[in-house]
Amino acid sequence: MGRRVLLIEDEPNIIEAISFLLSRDGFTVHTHSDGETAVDKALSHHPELIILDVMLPGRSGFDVLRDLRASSETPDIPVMMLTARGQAADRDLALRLGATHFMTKPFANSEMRETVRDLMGEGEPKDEDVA
Amino acid sequence: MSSAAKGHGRRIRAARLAAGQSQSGLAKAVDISPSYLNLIEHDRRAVGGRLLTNLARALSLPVGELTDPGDPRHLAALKSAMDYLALPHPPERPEDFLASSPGWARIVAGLMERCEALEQQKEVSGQDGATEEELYDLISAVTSIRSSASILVEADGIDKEWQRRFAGNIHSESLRLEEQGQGLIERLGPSAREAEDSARRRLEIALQMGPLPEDEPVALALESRGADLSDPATRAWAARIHSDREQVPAPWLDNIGAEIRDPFNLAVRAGLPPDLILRRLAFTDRHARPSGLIIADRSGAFSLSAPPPLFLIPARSPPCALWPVFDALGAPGVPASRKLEFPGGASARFACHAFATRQPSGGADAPVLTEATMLIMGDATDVGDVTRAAPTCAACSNQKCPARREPQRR
Repeated sequence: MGRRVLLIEDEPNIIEAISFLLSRDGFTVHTHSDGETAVDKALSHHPELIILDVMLPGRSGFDVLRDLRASSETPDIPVMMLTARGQAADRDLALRLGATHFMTKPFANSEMRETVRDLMGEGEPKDEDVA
Repeated sequence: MSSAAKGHGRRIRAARLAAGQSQSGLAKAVDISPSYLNLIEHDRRAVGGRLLTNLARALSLPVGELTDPGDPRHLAALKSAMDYLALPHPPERPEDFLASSPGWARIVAGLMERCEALEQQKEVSGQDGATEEELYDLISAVTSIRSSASILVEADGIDKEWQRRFAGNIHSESLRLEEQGQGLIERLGPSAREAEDSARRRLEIALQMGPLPEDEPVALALESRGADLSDPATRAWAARIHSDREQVPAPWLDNIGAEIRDPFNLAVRAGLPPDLILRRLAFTDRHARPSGLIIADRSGAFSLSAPPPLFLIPARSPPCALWPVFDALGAPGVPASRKLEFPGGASARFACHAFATRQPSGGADAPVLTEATMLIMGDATDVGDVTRAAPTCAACSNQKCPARREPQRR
């Protein structure tokens, strides 16, 4: 079983694409689509990386991030924020709240894969680079 | 007791407290009993005349400060604030607060005005907020499509089931994109105002297609070039050009020759209004120069922009102040001419002639309307002084221009 990634995103087709990409890179991807219960999911699954969308139903990704950082169980877990809003203010807020990385949509698949590998402290995948 | 006089007591009390004076101390200073002062302060006794003057002196205040009931707008704002906050038990009556603390009342009133302005802004931008959400949905759809398409194109050894799924995702997101795009177009699509502007733009394009043939009716010529003759403003322009033709017949234009360089002299010779001659020369096919017209109103806004090729009108920035149309606006009835050379050399050289007229729009109190007409004619010759100019300062290389508003952008 590969290293665990928790993807918190409510767009089904984006979930499917990211899950496919990261699974082929050997990661185990859990997904969750609701902001209200996202922190509970993180606490119960103990992921090694969280990919967190900003615009979520229920609670915003910023609020989820704030709670993750405030929790004694997840203060240091790497979090990549994902958003269509690329303004500097959003980036600054995300980083101020403790996001490890900030990625805007749409993203290149290669950028997503490379960033996840970097955040997980891994190098190039063992198999041929596919996307 | 009048309501205005009622406030005097409250204001006296507020002033006394602000000055740190005791009731007995102030009463002694004005030679009345503390109990009487207490009645005054609670507006149970009227105060005026010499006693009021003495109280004001004892409090080191002008009498007016004790009698001024305060700005009624502040009172209204305080009442609004109470309603807004839905306070079940307000700390004191707004009239008392206004009387006792006019400075703070002013601050609260200012905050309330700001609050109401922000609420209004929120209502107006509520629609923009919904648009932001729709745009976010669009970006999400694009993200799905991009990611899914990249997987299909770049991933080796992807099995058929995954291929089918990602192709399906692309299809469904494309439909979503189409739906949302159409929704946005409907929401943000042309308003009635823009429909008017669209008709104007069609007219301008029709006029810019080249001179109007003198042997063809104006309306037909414009319509064949795409102008919207159902639009009242377009029809008015067609009628105007037709009227100009009747006043200045085409054969007259055939004989002007080199006098075309001085349309104002032509106007004097013909005994006709200069702006009429400018319009006539702009749209006729009886001379070979590329030509066009700009009409500006008193504010400097262009109500018609039909320049010749290479004479660019900036879409957003204010245009060059050296264009003689602005000279004309500043001095109605006085001809203004200038030969301008835009970036591009001789081929972008234009003889510009402008004239503004003033016309009452109604009775003695009605505004006087100013209309400036600028004829623009291509003139690649070296005749006359040439001023280097451009559509805007940012595009202009004339560093010595006294009218420069912003630096040139290189």
